[in-house]
Order: sequence, then C-alpha cells, then structure tokens
Amino acid sequence: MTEPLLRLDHVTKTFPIRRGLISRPHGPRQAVHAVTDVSFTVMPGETFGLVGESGCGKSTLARLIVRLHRPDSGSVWFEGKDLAALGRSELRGLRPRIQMVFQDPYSSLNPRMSIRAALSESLTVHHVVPSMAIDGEVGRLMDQVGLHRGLADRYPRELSGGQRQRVGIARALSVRPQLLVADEPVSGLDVSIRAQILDLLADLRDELHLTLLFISHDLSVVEFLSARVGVMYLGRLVEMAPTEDLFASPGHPYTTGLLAAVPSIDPTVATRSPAVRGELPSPVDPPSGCVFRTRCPIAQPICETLPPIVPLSQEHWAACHFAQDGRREGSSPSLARVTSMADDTQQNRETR
Amino acid sequence: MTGSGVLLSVENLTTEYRTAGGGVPAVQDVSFQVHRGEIFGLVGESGSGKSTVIRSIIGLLPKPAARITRGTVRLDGLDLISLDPREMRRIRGGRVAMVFQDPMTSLDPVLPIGDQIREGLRYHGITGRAAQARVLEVMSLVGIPDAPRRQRAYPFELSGGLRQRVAIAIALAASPQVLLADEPTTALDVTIQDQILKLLLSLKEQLGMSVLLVTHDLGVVAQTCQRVAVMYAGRLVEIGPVTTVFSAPAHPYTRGLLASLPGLATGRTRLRAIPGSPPDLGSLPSGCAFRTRCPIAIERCAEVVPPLEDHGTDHLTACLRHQELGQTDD
Repeated sequence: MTEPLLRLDHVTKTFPIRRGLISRPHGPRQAVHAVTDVSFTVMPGETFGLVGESGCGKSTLARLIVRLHRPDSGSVWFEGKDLAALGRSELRGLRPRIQMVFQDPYSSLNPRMSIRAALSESLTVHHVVPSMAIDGEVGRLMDQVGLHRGLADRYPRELSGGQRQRVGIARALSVRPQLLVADEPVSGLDVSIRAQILDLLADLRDELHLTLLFISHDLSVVEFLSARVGVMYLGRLVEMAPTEDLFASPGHPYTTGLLAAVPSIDPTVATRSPAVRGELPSPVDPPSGCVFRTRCPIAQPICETLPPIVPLSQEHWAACHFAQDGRREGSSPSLARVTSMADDTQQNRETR
Repeated sequence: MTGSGVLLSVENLTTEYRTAGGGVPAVQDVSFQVHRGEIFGLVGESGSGKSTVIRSIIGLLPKPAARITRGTVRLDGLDLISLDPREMRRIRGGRVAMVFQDPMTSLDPVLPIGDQIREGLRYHGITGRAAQARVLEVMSLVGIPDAPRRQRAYPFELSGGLRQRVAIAIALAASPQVLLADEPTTALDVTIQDQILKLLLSLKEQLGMSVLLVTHDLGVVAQTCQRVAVMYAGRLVEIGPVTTVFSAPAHPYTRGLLASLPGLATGRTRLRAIPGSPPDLGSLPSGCAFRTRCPIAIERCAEVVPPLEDHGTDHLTACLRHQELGQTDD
C-alpha cells in the first residue's frame, strides 16, 4: 500500500478566550475546544469529505492542515513530514503543494488586482513558469477553470459569484498543488452555479489527479464529490466511512439525524418531527464523554464516558457506545430506536 | 387543497427599481394566489425578484428607489397597494406578518425578547395582563422553553435557531392571517432548519394560517409547501402543486434546477448544470428570459414572452416548448 499523502494524528486545537476588556489572570482559563483528538489519513488521488454543521471544527481543521494554525497537540503529516517541525524555508517550499479554496472568493481575492494580476502573482512568487511564459500560463489556467480569457483584465467586483470562485480555484491550481483543501467552496452560490462549480471540481480532480479535501456543511455536496467521508460534531470526528456506506447505513446517531434533517426534494417523503432535537452545546464547555449525548435520542448514562471507536465494516467506524458491529441489514436495534424516538420528539422539547 | 378559497391574491404585479440607466424591472407581471391554510412556496435564485414580490405585498419597498408600476395585491378582497401608509401599518404585523432571513438584524439588540413581542401587541391594541399572557403563550407556541425566564433574555444570548423562533413569535403575536417568510431558514444549520420548518408546519396546522414561503432551496419547498411558483429573472415561469412540479417539471428552468441538485444517494458523477448565469435585469434577452441558457430554445422564443398557461390540474408553465420538454428525457 502506498503512503498516505496527508495524515492527522490525534490533532487537538483550542483557542483561549478572554472575557471583557481586562483579562482576569487569576480566573479560570477558558478556551474554545475547536478540534479534539482528530485522526485520519488521505491517500494520494483520493477525495476525502468532511461534513458537519457550524461550530463543528471543520474550518479550523482545514486551517491546521494548510498550517495557518498549529495544533496544540497531535501532528499533521504531509508526504511523511510533520508540518509543525518545518522551518520557515521548508514551509515556504511546501506552501504551493497544499492549496486552499475558500468559501467566499470575494474576501479572499484582492479587490484591487485584476484576474491577470492575481494569477500572475502566484506564478511569479513561486517561480512556476519563466516570466516570459506567465501570460500564456494565465490564459491556460483561465481555460482550465472555464473562464473566458476576455475577462483577464476584470476586477473581482466585476465578476459574478461563480466566476469569482473559478478565479479562486485557478489561483489555487496555478502553483500546481498535490493537495487541494476546499472549505465550503460552493456555499455562497446559487443552485445552478453551484452545480457548475461542482462539475468543474470533479473534472479538475480527474484531469490533474488532485487529492481533494472537501469540506462542507451540505451532505449532498460532500457525497457527490467524495470517496470517503468523515462526520464532525463539536470538534470531534464521530464517524468515518466510504461514502456509499455512510449514506446507506450510518452508524452514529448524529449522522442518522443529520441525514434525516436534509429536506428531500421528494415531496412524498415527509416527516412530522425534527430529526435532531435541541441545539449545539457551547464548545467552551463541551459535554463530557460523548459530545452528542445532550441531543442524542438513545443516550444512556454510559454515554458520559468517552465512546469507543467501533469498527462497523471495512474502513467504516463510529464513535458511539451503541454503534453496531458487523454487517447491518437495516434493522439495527439502536438505530431503529433512533428513528422511532425521533418521531416522538416534540419540537418544544428543547434542551438547553 | 386545504382550507377554502383564496386569501392572498397577487395580480399582474410589476415592480421597478429606478437606476441611473432608467427603470429596471425586478418583478414583471406576476400573478398567483395563496389559499387559506396553505404554505405556498416562491422559489428562485438570487436576483430572481422573489424578495421584491414579498416587499411589494407588504409595502416595504425601498423608497423612492422602487415602485409598483402595475398590478394589485388583495388580502381577503382588501386592496393592499391602495392603502395609505397609516392603514398599511395596521395591516403589517397584524393581519400580515413577516419573518426575515437573519433574526439578528431583524430583532432589536438592546431590548429583551419578551418586550419585543409585547411591543408588537401594543401596536395592535393588546396591553397589560392580556399582553403578558399572550407573550408567554406565543413563546411556548414556537417552542421556546422556559418562557417566563427566557422573556428577559436579549437576542445575543440566544442561538440562531432560538432567535428565529423569537422572530416567529413576534410575527404570530397578533394572530396574522398570512405569514410572509423570506428565506427564514437560510442562515441556520440543517438540523436547526429542520426544527424551524417542522415548527412552521405545525403552526400552520394549529392556527390555520397561510404562509408565503420565499426560498432558494427546493428541498425546503418539497418538504413544507403544498403549491409552488418558480421565478426566473422577475417572472413566474411555472406554478403548480409541489408533487406535480417536482415529479414532472414543465419548464426547462425548473427541470434544470432540479437536475443541478447533487441529491443524496443518486450516484451521479456529474451534475447537468444549467449553462451560463442569470441575465442582468437591466438588459434582459427579448422574449423568454431563460432562452439564452435553455437547451430546447428555438427562434420563436426570442420573439414572444411566453404566457403562463394552464395545462390541467392547476399546473401552469410559461414555455412555448413545454410539450417537447415532456417527451425528451434529458
């Protein structure tokens, strides 16, 4: 088996918070637990999806991987190198190999730089092509992401949202990365434009043999692109599975709820009660044990202890005391209960 | 269909924005009816004019930039467009209430939520003990736990989901006949969106009120609405019962939108995206505005604006080639 391109090893990141204008040095230290003990690997050429709702830590994780943050503990390995151990010049050499596409290209593009200038800049800084070849390369990149070459002298404000995201992708690709980290790249876009960008990402991945870490709150988008998916909740990875397995037989009650909460475009599939009750607890003071237990329909006293990682099938696991081992035939007692209890849940039974 | 008869009727509504380059039509010749006790969906992408429709109905168009140049809006027979501002204020928040996308901007940040609900009631003549009882009643109606204590909370102390519940409570306080909801769940996480949509459904059942739900999300429409109108570049292109429109879309735009959704467990490797982007409202293509992106457009589509025509079962579409659409399977 080949070496993974990316490996996260028990990565934890917290952000200390200070209350008020004057910090209280003697008060209890508080921190936002953004990412807790996350481990996974991504193989070369693979598309790995990370899904979760706001506050689950997925964007912090993206920033840890491109080393915009350093982990408090644990490590991020890229091509067998620990990113935290790299010096300044090594890091600079590494930057072009891991690139990021952000949600809002309007805020990640310099408003005073034309498309040509934005793309030329990264080509120059990283010496991707000789300076005389830059213009040609800009044109090639624009073709590659489906931007008309005539737009090269336009500024970001003159472009539509979809076009701006194409520029964001072209700029990431300009330095010929191995790994593309895309953090909610289609979230701000209209449905028809979103479909165009998703098709573009799929095409580019196949043409350029890119490894893609695709992060989104939208399950359908993650499913469309990814071969494997990790589900995050409140800073932790709660389930991981090949995409088909995850959607066909989710092993964690949170995944089950999340899948049920997505409004289906089939009007004949209708449910009366909310799929997941209550609201996200504070990441400053996450629940002990299983972080999902305060909203979980099958939680028991044992859930106050940290759940084991339960292997469910090849490459499929869930961090739940009640995850079922072995092949499920759609009649797992714990998950059948999740569904029936979710039906009983009243919408005013909020726990907060 | 639930209920009986038409509650809110919009006829030939045309709303323009004034710009340096002349009038830009944001809404053109839009007609639809919301029945009593139904949730009616108005779906479209950004710039399609769906929010302008809502703002035209409730008299909240930016002035003097926008004005209604044609059409009528009738609530139970009462013409809302001809009302003077004072009369309109009594309707707004009374018989017609509204919920916006972002409760953090629609709520007053420095007023406890209970007072904000009470404020609306006072405006409609309910004060004192009756008002206090109503505050607690609507708070529990929208599923805010521990109402007696929570009424003293400020918006910043609440999560996004609870804030939207507060906004809905304010809207419901004066027992409106119709609730206009403009992207009410767009800013929320999917599990919270699910809770709010189910809340809207149960409120509709309990109170028998009508809801006009504006959204860009087809899944939201499928799960909550009985009927839906699809908007593109300021015009309605299709109206019908949700079950019909979603299973047999009769306009190429609706069909393209549905095909643009990744959809869970469909196993598709590419989405058949609609090519191009929506036209600039200031320079719309002649004839059918969608023809520049339409896979089945013909020359005649550039010559006439296709009328919204009924072809049975309350299903209307504005496409010259809708019959061809039914036959091709792409």
